[in-house]
Amino acid sequence: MASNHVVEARGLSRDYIVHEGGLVRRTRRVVPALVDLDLVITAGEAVGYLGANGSGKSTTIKMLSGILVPTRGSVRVLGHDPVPERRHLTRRIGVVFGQRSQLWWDLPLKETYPILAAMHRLPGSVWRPRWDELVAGLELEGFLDTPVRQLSLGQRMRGEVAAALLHSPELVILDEPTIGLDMISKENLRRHLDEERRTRGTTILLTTHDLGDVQRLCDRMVIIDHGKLAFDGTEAQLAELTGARRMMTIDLDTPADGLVLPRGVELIDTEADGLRLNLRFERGVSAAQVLSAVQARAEVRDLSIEEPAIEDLVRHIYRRG
Amino acid sequence: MAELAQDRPVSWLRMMATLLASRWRSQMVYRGSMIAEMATQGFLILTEFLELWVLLTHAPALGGFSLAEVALVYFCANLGFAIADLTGGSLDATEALVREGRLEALLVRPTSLLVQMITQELQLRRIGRVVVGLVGYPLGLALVGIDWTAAKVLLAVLAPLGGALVYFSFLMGAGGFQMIVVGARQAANAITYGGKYAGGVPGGALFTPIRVFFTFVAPALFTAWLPMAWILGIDTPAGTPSWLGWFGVPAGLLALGAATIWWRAGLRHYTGAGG
Amino acid sequence: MRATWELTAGGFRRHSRYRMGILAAMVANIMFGMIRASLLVATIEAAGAPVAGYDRLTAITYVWIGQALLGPIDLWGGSGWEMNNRVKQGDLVTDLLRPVHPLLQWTAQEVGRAASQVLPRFVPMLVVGALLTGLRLPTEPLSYLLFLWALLVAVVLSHTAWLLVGLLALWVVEVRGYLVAMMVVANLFSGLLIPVQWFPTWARGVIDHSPFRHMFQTPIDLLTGLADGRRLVLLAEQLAWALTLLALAALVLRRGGRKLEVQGG
Repeated sequence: MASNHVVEARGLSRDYIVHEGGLVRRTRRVVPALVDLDLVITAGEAVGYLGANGSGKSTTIKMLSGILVPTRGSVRVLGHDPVPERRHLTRRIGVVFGQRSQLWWDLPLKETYPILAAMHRLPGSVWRPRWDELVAGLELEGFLDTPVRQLSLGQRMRGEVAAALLHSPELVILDEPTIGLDMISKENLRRHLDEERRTRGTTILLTTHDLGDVQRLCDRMVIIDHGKLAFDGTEAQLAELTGARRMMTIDLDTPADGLVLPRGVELIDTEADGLRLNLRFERGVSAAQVLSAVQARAEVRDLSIEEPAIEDLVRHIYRRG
Repeated sequence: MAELAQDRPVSWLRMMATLLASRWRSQMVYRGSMIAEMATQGFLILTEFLELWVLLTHAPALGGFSLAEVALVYFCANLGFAIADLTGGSLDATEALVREGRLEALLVRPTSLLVQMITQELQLRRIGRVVVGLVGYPLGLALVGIDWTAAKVLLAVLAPLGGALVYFSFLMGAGGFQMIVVGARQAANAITYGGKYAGGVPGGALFTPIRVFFTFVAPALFTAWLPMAWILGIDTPAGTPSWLGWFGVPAGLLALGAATIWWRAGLRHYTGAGG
Repeated sequence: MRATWELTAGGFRRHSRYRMGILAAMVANIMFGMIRASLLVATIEAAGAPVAGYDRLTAITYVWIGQALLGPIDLWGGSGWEMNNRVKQGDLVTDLLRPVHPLLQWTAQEVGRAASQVLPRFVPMLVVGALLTGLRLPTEPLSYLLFLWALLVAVVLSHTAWLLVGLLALWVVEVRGYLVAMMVVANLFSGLLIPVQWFPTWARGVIDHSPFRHMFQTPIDLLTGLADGRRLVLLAEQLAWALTLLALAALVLRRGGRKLEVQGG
C-alpha cells in the first residue's frame, strides 16, 4: 500500500446470508451487499460517498472501520487490516454514526470527553487544549452541561463530531452525519470539518444523501448503486459523464427574429412576449457559442447560467444502473 | 498525528479508575433511589432463601445438610455470585446491544468491549447483594459451630473467591454465546442463573446428572457446596468427593479461560456475520 | 364479538414467530425444572413420607407442569412492564380511543398470546419432563377440561393483576420498584418455587386464598390431583378473584382515563 493512501480497497465485497421461512421450511439466500469495490483515498482528501438506502454505503463503512469482515477482496486503512487490527486502527480514526450515538446518554455532554480521553490514553496536557479548540469550533459552550438525551439532534451531532475528533485522528469517517439537521447546524458542521481538513490535513470520508454536503465539503464523489461502484470523480466529471445540460436564461431588448441555434442547444420556452429566452445546451457546447448565436439576431441585455442540479446528475447515474 | 498513538503516558490503571469513577457518578445522580435499590437487592437474597427454609420445615436435612448448614452454603454461593454480578453482571447483556445496534459504537472505541461493558454498564445497586453476602456468610460460619483449623479458615476464605471466578466466567461465557446465537439469551440463563441456583444448595440434593454437570462441565458446585462439605465434614455422594472443594480457584480459572474463548468467538462471529 | 376474535388471533400470530426465543426459554425451563424437582424429591426422601400430599412422582409432575405453564401464564409481569411503557409513552390514549373497551382488547390479546404458547411450549415441556423423569397425569378427561378452564382464568387473572401494577404509572413516576416487589411476591406465593401446600400452617391460610395462588398453583392442582374433593370451590374462588381484579382494573381505567383527559394525555 502506498504510503499516502489512507484507504485502499481492492475488489472489496460483502455478502449477507438471509434466512427465510417459518418453522418448517427454511431457505438460505445469499444477498450481495457490496460487489467488487475498488477505492483509493489519499491523505487530505474529502470524499463524498453517495448511494440510496440499501446500496451498500453502511456496509462499506463497517468494513473500513473494522466491525465487519469482507467476504472477498482486501482493504487497508492507514496501512491496517481493519478487522484484525481494529483496536490499533481506532486510535487513528474517528467514526461518527449518524443514527447511533457514541455519547453517554445520561451524562452531561462535557463528561463524555474525559472518558473518551481516558480510553484513548490521552494525558490532560494533550486533550484539554484540543477540547477547547473543538468546543470553540463547534460552538458547544451553550449546552455542555445538558444531559445528552436532552440535546437537540443538531447539538448532539456537534457533540459526536467533537468526540470523534478529540484524539486528532488522521481519518474521519462520518455515516450520514447531517441527516435530520437544520440548515444552520449543517453549515456549522460542514464548516468545521472543512477547517479540520485544511489545518490538519485530516482525511474525510462522508456518506450522505445530502448533496449539499458533497458540494460544500468534498472534492470528490463516489456513487454506489445496488452494491456496485457507479461513479468515482468530481462533480464536473459527473456532469460530463451524464451529458447533463446547462440552462441559460437570456433577457433581450427586443424579441429575436429568426433565431438559429447551433446543434446541442434547445430553446425551452420564452417569456415576457419573447423578451426572455430559456435555453438548454449540452456539455459539448460552450456558453459563449450559445450567446453569440443569440446576439446574431438580437440585443442581449442580461443573461444567467444555471449548472445542472447535482440531484439530476446523480439520478442519471442511478437510472443508468 | 501518529505520535499521539504511540505516546501513552496514561496508564491502564488510571484509565480504569477514570472510567469507573464516571460510572459511579452517573449512577449516583439519584442518591436516595440508588440506596433504596441497593437495599432491595440485599433484601432479595433473603427472600430467595425462603424457598430453602420452607423445604427444611418438612425434613431434618437436605442432601445431608441441616438448616444452618444449608444457609451457610447458600450465603457462600451468593457472596461469590454477588461479587461476580457486580463486576461482570452486565456481560450477559450483549444480546440487547446487538439487537439495538449499540455494539458498533462500542467497537469503534480503542478499549476492549470487555472493559467497556464492565465499567460503563456497571450496576451499582448490586453492591447491596455483596454487602448482605459479606455479612451473612461470616455470620453463618460463626453460627454453625466449626472446629476451626488453619486449613479450614483458608478454604472458607478461598471459597467465595473461587465462586466469584466461576460465576464471572458463566456471565462472560453467556455474553459471548449471545453474540453467536442471537435471541437465545434465555438458554444461557440455564448456566448463569441455573448455576447460581444449583450452586447455592447442597449438591447431594441434586439429581446425579445435574450434579455431575455442575461439577465437571459448569463448575458451580465448587463455589460453595464442596468447600463447605469439606469444612463441615459432611459426606458427599460418590464421584464428587469434598476435597474437590479445594480446587475452586483453579476450576474458576479454567472456566475463565473457557469463557474468554466464548467471548472472543462471539466477537468474531459478530464482525463476521454482520450483526 | 368479531373484534374480540380478531384481537385474540392477532395476539396469537404475533407471538408465534419467536422460534429461537421459545427454544431458548425451554432450555432454561428444563434446567430450572430439574433443579427444583431435585430439591423437592430430596425433601420428600429426607422426610421419609409424602409431604403435604405430595409423593415423589406428584412433586415431579408438579414441577414439570409449572415449568410448562411459564409459557402461557405471564407470571413475571410482562404485561406490567408493557403497561408502564404504554402509559409513559402516551400509547394508552390510543387504546382508550378505540371502539372496543381497552380491557377487552388487552385481555383478548393476552389470551391469544397464551394460546400461541400451548403447542410450541406447554406440550413439548410436558413431553420432555415425561422423558427425563417421568410424570403422572390424570386419566379422567374431566380433569383436563377443568384444567383448561383454570388455565384460561389464571392467564386472565395474572395479566389483570400485572396490568393494575403497570397502571400505577398514571400516578407514580417510577413504577419499577413496585413491579420488582410484585415479582418477588408472585414468585414465592404463586406456587412457582414451592407448592403452596408446603407453606407452614400459620401462613397457609392467607397464601392459600390469595390471588397469587390462583395464578399458577390452581391449574397445576387440577392435574396433580391435589385439588380433589374441592375442585369446584377452588375454581369458584379463582373466578371470583379474576372478576374482582377485572372490575378493579375497569375502575382504575375510568379514573385514569379521566386523568389523561384533564392532563391532555
